[in-house]
Amino acid sequence: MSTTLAKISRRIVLFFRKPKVVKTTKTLTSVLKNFYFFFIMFLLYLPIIIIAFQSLNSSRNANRFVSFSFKWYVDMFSDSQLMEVVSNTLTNAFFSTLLSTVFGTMFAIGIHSLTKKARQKMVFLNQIPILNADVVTGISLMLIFKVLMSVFPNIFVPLPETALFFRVSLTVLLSHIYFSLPYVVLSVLPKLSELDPNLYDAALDLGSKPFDAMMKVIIPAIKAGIFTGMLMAFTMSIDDFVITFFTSGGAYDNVSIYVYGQIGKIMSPAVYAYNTLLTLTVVVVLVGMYISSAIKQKKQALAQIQHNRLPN
Amino acid sequence: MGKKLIELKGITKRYDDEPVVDSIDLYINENEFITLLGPSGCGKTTTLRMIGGFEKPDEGQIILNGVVVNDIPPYERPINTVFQRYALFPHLNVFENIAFGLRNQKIAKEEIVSRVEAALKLVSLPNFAQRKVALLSGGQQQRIAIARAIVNRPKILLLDEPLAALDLKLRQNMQYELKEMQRKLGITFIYVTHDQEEALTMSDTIVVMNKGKIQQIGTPTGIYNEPKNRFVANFIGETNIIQGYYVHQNLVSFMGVEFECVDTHFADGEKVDVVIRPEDLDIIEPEGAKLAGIVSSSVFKGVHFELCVIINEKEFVVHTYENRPVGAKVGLKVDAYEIHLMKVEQSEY
Amino acid sequence: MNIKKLGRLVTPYVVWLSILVMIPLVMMVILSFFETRGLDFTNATFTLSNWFRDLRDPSVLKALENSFTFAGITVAVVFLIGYPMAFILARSSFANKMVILMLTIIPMWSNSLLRNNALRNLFSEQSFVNDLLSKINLSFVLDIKGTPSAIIAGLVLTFLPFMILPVYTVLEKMDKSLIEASMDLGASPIRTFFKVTFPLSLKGVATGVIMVFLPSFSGFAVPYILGDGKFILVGTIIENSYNYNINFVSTLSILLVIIIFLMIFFVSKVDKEGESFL
Repeated sequence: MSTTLAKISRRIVLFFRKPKVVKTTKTLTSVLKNFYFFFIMFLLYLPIIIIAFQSLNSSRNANRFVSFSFKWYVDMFSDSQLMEVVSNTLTNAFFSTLLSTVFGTMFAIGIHSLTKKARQKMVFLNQIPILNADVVTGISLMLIFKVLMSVFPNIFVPLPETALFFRVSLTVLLSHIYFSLPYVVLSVLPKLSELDPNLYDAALDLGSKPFDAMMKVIIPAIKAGIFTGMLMAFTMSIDDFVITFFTSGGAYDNVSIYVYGQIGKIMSPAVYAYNTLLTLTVVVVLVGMYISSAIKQKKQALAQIQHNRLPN
Repeated sequence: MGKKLIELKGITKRYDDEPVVDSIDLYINENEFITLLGPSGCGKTTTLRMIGGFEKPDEGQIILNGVVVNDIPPYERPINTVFQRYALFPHLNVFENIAFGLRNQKIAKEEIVSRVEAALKLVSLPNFAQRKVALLSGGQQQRIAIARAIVNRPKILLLDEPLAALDLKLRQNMQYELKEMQRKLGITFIYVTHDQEEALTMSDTIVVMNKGKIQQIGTPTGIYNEPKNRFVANFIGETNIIQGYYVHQNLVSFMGVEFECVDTHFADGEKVDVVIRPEDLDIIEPEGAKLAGIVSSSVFKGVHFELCVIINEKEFVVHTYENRPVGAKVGLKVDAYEIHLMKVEQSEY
Repeated sequence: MNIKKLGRLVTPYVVWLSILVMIPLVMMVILSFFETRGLDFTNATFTLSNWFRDLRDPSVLKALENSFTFAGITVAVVFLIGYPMAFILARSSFANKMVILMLTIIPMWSNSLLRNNALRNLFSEQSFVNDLLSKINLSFVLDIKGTPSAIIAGLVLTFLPFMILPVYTVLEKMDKSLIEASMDLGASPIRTFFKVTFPLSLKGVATGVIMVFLPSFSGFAVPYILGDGKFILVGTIIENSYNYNINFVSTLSILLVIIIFLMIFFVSKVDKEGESFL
């Protein structure tokens, strides 16, 4: 009984090894793989496509597409409520990205130079804001700010435009720095460990002052990590809802909070226009950077080949 | 040597249309320790990977025990590999690593236990079964990797530069142990290395490769003493290569002087490359010597001195036990049987 | 690098994290055992009722149940969809993996609430998509707005990249010679997957599980948007009462922290080095 079974299974194995069968199963699996890949991608992009179409709808009616129109891409600039939340979102993202990139890089360099045990502890500590639930982070920061209110009674009141050209809420800004910093640290750390450990000492040895050595040697070597961190910080900031919700004190709405308030109501397609524009900008920037780096790589590869062809 | 176990016929492998292995032919006998030797990028590892089944040749056949195995996947070949960086499974302990192959063959539990223990004993790590792989030293990991492969009793064991990551002392010990192990087990070892000393020490047969082609196949002494071409002569040990011509039987001329020699298969007047190993040159008094020159450098190498002697603007490397000062005039002597002649390759001139 | 001097750069970060993590945590623990008016402790009374009465209120228990159910199902679905995605990405011979990876991340640059709002529209009886399709004589109606399915669909699509990315990273970094070693030792491709590849990718899966479970468990925006406000979750209670019952909100927050710690504890069992987070 078991020998016949073994024979049959052996036959099946041999059947699947016939060149023709191998080829068919290979194409079949690759077709299935591709179908699966594109189907999931389609689902991921479906909401974005819907938003894009809604932004091109001439009517405010979210359930009916009346006709194509680009008017919301113009009208959005005169929608004062939308412009305020957009300006809040982008201003806050700008400052929090800037500050958390600078400080995150600095902290990463510090953490990298610790002993192994201390470094592991710091890496764990650094994870807390990332792993903690947004709701808990939001409530925690809100509590801290409420305590600080006894010293700075106006802490929840946004700074007027006169201070930094745009409205800035200190509580929201600090909160965004709080949750962005760890992402910068996490992106920079691996780049630091790829570095030659003697790089910094070599710069000092050659007569650079510590600060110059840092700026001229270390920072250029880890700039890819810094850039990734910056991108993540910016992404986290513009898309944040929960933490801003709890720390704004109701006086500083961003786009997410604005959208949350509009759920179930008739939303102006200008919001869709803004969102589509933002997504497109990011895509264009990324594609541009990708192409320029690809060209650079190709040039280098060509140069390498030509170099190799030179007679020895 | 036993009978033919595995044969490669016209094997070619290309990456992006560049041939990395270029129509090589090779057979390996049962119970043979064969080494594929060559510089990095010469195609030796690719050849090994094709034997293991990790790569498919673009052309040619791999024949194992008379059966073409080109399309047989690695998991059905009676061949096991010791990987360069060992590739021990980090999520399994030592025992489970070694038992991995046995479990795939659905072998009874008691037998697995006894075979794993025997394998651990063979690599002299008898009490290591429950250890974590990550906590082992490089040398220990190396031994576990070997145990994991041989416990399956493969017909052929492939070793891809297995000693490259070890320090010198450990490497020398392991060379000896590997050779011992092969003798005891009676398995064919196919060994890949770029280290000529390792190849000379361990192998029954050495296959020297360069640029995807086999340069020479032979025993260690054969390869060392009678290199077929400049590449082999240069790659295996240090050597002096001088252009000359074959005067007539048993007489060769180089550096303007005629020397007796033992090679015969050349035409009278044919251009040849003359190979003389540094240890085959003897220092004599300059008066009356066929070759005389000035010592331009002297380096102490532990057992011997390495002298550089310049004769008519040509450098000769000489290994000698007696030092001579730089600037001294010396004569060089070489015996007829230590002069080796090679055919001149067209491309070299 | 110059160890002692540069190490000092960390001090402000330690202070910053300690203040912003530890102080609120202590405050929440204290607040959860009292009844106060906001942060005003003048007439505060010690009480265990937050923990032993309010937490056992049927509506709270229902919210906890909802949170666990939605988050649990979301994690399972995200894993089942995301793991194969990550696997395909990591094994693809396509030259520009970076591009494909970028494609997975780009949706995150579109406002997540707006994306869920688009799904809310899609899942309604008279959807925008259906109206568009009707112009070419097609129709698509998936009227599930206000049902658990809609919420789970929203959570899955929002957090899918959080599973794909860590699993992809682990699979991509995995030493290919381990796979070859397994095949060399006689394991078929399927057996190799279950005996070597999958166990070695568990770190990435664990990270993914945490990154998906926590926001699904504690969030309140997606359930509100796609559940049409019909479902109460833990996050919803916090959102509704943070302004007037900080004591109970603190209790729930501490409960969440405990859940997070339990999850990290289990993950650290899988991932001893603690290196795989992101």
